[in-house]
Amino acid sequence: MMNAIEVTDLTKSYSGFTLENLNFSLPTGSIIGLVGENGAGKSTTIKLLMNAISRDKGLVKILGVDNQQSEFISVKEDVGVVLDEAYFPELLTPKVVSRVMKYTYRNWDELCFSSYLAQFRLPETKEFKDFSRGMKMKLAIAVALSHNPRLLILDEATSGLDPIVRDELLNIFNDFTREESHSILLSSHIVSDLEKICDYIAFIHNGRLLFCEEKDKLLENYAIVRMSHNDFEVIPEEAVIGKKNSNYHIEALVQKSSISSAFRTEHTSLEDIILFLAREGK
Amino acid sequence: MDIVISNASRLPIYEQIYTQIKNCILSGELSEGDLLPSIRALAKDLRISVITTRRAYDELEKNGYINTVAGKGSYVAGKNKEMIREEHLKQIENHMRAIFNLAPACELSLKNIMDMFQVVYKEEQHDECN
Amino acid sequence: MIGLLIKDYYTLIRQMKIMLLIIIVFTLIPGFSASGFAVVYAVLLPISAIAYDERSKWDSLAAMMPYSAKNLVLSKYLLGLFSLAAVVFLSVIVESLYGLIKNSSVGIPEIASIIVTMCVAMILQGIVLPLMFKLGVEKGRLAFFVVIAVVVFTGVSFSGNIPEPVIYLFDNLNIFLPGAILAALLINVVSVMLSTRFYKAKDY
Repeated sequence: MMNAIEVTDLTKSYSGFTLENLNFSLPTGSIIGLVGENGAGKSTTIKLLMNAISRDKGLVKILGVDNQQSEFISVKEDVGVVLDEAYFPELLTPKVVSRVMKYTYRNWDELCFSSYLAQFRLPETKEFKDFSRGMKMKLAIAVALSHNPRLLILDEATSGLDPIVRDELLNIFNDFTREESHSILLSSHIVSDLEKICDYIAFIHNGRLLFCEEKDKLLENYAIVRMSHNDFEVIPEEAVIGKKNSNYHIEALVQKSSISSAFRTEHTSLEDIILFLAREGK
Repeated sequence: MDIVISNASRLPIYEQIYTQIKNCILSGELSEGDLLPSIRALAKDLRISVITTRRAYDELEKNGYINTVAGKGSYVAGKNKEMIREEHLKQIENHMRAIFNLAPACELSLKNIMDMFQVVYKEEQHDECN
Repeated sequence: MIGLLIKDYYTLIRQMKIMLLIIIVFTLIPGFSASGFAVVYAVLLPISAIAYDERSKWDSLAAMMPYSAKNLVLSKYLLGLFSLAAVVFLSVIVESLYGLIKNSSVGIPEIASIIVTMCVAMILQGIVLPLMFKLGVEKGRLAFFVVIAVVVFTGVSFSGNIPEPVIYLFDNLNIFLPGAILAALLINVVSVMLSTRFYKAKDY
């Protein structure tokens, strides 16, 4: 079973920022979360994935096809994309968008689109410029889901939405991958959303991919421990991924297997792990 | 079959699934030949990673609790005697450990405990005859 | 590409309606030829469409969809062509009707001058669109005005001494019609190629 996305040595330089030697793959049927602070390079990576911007170096394969080859344009039929700030021209309505998409995508499913509009409570004849940010996002997602895609690429698709809507969307994304040929790449700075549905987590920091790991392995292997300065001396250095010093104690992210089980671990979320790693820049 | 995952547990999620399915099989809630939910469906329904359910199923298969048929799914394997015996021995051991944990509170020595065993054993025998 | 044309149509429809209204109103002014006006407007429509696209960062989204750069660019040229044809057609109708109502001697405007007008518009479009695609709408508009200014300036400075061949040209449009049409076509073909290259080179 081929990978939905394969990225090798991907590099892109701007003045003042370089995305360097990205290497990762997304196995078909999985969901990968791309996490990183604003400006880390998430949106750049996504645009590079679809060849919307040209790379300096490296190779990108989407659904098995090199994205700089001429066949790539038909691969786009199978990819649904939601971008952070790029939308349809503001004077269009969802009804018009459906008509435009009918002539854009071979597999445009008008009924499917209408049912998403109903589910998201989006008015069919309201102009885009009158949509709130949440509504704009939902429309973009409805479009992305309505042409039978095999791969979804979502850039900050849940940002700016209230928790109830976010949960609704995460449910939809979760259901999308009940089909084993369907995959998702979801970038977000809301780590808790990624924790809910991702199989893999890739962390981009200052243009470098710090890691790409199974989410459950991360949560299994690492935990936060709070202890006195004295107790901290006992812990082997290799086990400490990051630490936070305070006047009264030390809070450290450690490898669970390398420390004594006498230490009590705190409830550690994915966000906790990411924060420690970001701070260390490791 | 009910499966309840706890994020607060120290056990990794795949282990929780493994244990709960295993117990269903051993308790008879799942019978030989029963089809288990697909790895993917289970993952999506429990809102966990497919990688994790796959790991649990792999572990179950490795230990002989289930059989996976390519293209069809995973079925509960027949209970073999050895498996059951091992499980029961483990349970007995656990009960023993429980006894030894409680003993100090009543200030029982090993000899006290052995004596109690004798008493209870005789009682059981007596009940059986009647 | 039909999708792209539909998108631009619905984006510009309000603008087009206003345009039509203005053309009709101005036609009622005696001595005013709507065709010239129509030319300007028709050239401005694709520019307007590009401006709306820029506003919503449509090009970034379009890069994710199965559109080829050539089609994305060509759709703007076709938009210009169709709106030009529609506008010229309508202004001719209005002028003729006006002529009929007034029962004046203003007959159906000469076919030749209509075609020449269209050629001029197409040539203008062929010049301005690559500028738009290369420089973006803001700078492109500026560049376009510079080009127009240069042309007008050259024309004005020659007005005292228009060379013989040029006068001959304007007096005998019929003969040079095929040449004009050919020029318009050629310029646009080159223009499309240039625009496509500029579009492809841009990062969205």
